[in-house]
Amino acid sequence: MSYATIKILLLLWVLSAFALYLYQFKSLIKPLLAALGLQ
Amino acid sequence: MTAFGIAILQVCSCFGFGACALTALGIQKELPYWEQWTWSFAVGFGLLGWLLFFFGVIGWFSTVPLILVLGLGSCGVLLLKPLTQAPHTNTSAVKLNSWCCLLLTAIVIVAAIDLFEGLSPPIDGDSLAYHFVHPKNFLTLGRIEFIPRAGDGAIPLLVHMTYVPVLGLGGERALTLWVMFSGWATSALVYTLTRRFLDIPWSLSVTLIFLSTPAVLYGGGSGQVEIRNALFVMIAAFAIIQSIKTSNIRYAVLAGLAAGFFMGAKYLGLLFVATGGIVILAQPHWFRHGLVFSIAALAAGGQWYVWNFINSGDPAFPLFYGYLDYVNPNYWSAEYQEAFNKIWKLEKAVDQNIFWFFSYPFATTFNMHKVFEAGRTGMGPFILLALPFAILSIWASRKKLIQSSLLPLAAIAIIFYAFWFFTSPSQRIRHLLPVYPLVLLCVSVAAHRWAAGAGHLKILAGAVFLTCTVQLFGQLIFGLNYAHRLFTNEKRDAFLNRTVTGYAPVRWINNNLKSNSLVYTEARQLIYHFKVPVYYGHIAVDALIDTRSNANNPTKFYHQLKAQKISHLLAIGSIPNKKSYNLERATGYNQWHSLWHMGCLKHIKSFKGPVFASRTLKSLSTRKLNFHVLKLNSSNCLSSKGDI
Repeated sequence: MSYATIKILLLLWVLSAFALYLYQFKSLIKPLLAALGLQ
Repeated sequence: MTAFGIAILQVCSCFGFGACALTALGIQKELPYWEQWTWSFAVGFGLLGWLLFFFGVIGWFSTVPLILVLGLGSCGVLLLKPLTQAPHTNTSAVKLNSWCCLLLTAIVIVAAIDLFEGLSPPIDGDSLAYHFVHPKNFLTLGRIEFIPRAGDGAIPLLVHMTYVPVLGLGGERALTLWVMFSGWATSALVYTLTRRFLDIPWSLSVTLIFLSTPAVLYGGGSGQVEIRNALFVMIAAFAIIQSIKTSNIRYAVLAGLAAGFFMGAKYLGLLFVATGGIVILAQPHWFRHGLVFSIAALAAGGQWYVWNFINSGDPAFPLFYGYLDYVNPNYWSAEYQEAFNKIWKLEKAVDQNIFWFFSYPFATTFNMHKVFEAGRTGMGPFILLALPFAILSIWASRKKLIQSSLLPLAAIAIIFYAFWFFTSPSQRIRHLLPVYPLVLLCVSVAAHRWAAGAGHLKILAGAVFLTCTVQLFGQLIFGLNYAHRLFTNEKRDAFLNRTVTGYAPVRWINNNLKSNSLVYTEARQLIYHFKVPVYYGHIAVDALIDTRSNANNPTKFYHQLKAQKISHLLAIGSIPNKKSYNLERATGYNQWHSLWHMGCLKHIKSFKGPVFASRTLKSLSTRKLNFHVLKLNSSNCLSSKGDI
């Protein structure tokens, strides 16, 4: 695999894994906003 | 200022005790400068906890002995090279660039938030139920007392012993500052050990990732022991590496001591001693080192098991129930064993098989089951994000993998995880926090090595940035509650009222009941804040008062309350009227409903207040609870017909 391909794959991994990690907190959005005084 | 002074004195005594031990072992001079400090603190922390057990047994939990032990320990600081002799970092000075400054700023912000928590009254549920309660009770008694409770009473309490001097000499604030300092010490140890492998910016990055990890944030500033046990795990792991590398038996002694401290602080430490024992055998001097390691571990952590055995007949109460004769048959029963096993079953979300052994780390990262408690108290996303880098690193260096100094660290982490996964009754991810620094270190170093060589360091830096951003956001939200208290000069009672479920009745009880009262309650989050004597009832861990979920014997319940000299109940729920009362449903804690109908309880006062499901996110629960202060009447009520 070329350097560029590996770079893109790594980038995709980091971004998609991070997005998936954040997804678990979807139910906390409202409580978070409330804690910040925004709701 | 007294509180701050006492907390600092105890920090100094840990440095001192550790420096003495490391000097005696001849290890001190072999360590890099900053590691001399961090290792000393970790070893001294364990030694202080170990020593105080014997103080507690003798009955020396009073001002003079406690000051003497801290003062004596502090003298050992003289064995450490002064800070003026700290090595200059000229070679790295150039690298203290904007990236470093940003990381240092973030670390200072996290430390400031920790300080906000350290300056506030304790509000963590487990700490209020037992972590801070046992030291408080031991101080009242002036000695250690056996607590016949499974899971949170008759447990190894080495870390809890270190809470005794600070609480006794400096009060609550000294205690909360002490847990803050000892949490920071773990991060400092992570930094100095990471510096063995990485440069300053990357070591700071790893430290920030660790410091802001949700599980660290959750337990660092409270009485939770996991983060403090990480100190022992890191020392034991690196001492094992040195013992293998140098064949020097002194490192096997140190590894045994550190593993033993973990064993003396939590039952899971037994698994760690087994893990360390297996890894230390992988060398030519396996017998000698293995033997020394085992003896040192037993000496450092065995005292609590002997204590439990003497007082209950079971070294790991109630693990050997049915196999050993118990000193007091009232301490436990087959029914309670069943109830105890039943609640542990609720702590398991997935089967203990090979598939889940490999899947569990991913399942917890994405918090796929609430039992894992992996969201707000998990390990964060970094390991997952850096995983492909680490795997590629392993592949690239597969031919020289066996020589890698990371291999023993990884082996310790993996073997411990295997033991834990297949034997632990609980699947909460935060129980793995003690070995998390080893995993973080291995993954970070391996990922960095490959990324630096392959020219992909920027993507790894991006993973660090994303991780730190989300974790720091969580940290800031967590800190708001404490910052609000400090910056608005909020009074202690007002803060506790809006943070601890059911604090209002405790305040009333403290102001209105006499010190010869004894209040029975199931509300675990209130135990620490009682100023009058309190009895903490539980459905599965305390057999002296039977409140198992199916228990339905009000007469027995009444006699057990009386046998423990209970004078009042702080009951939860609605007082049943004649129409709503149902004997069938008056089980477990609700047996007080039957006592109420029999006329055995007199109503004193009622309270209604909100339930706080989280210290940070108040709106997670909108429920309200009723609390009733009830007085236990004389036994005449049992002979009357009542309303039943």
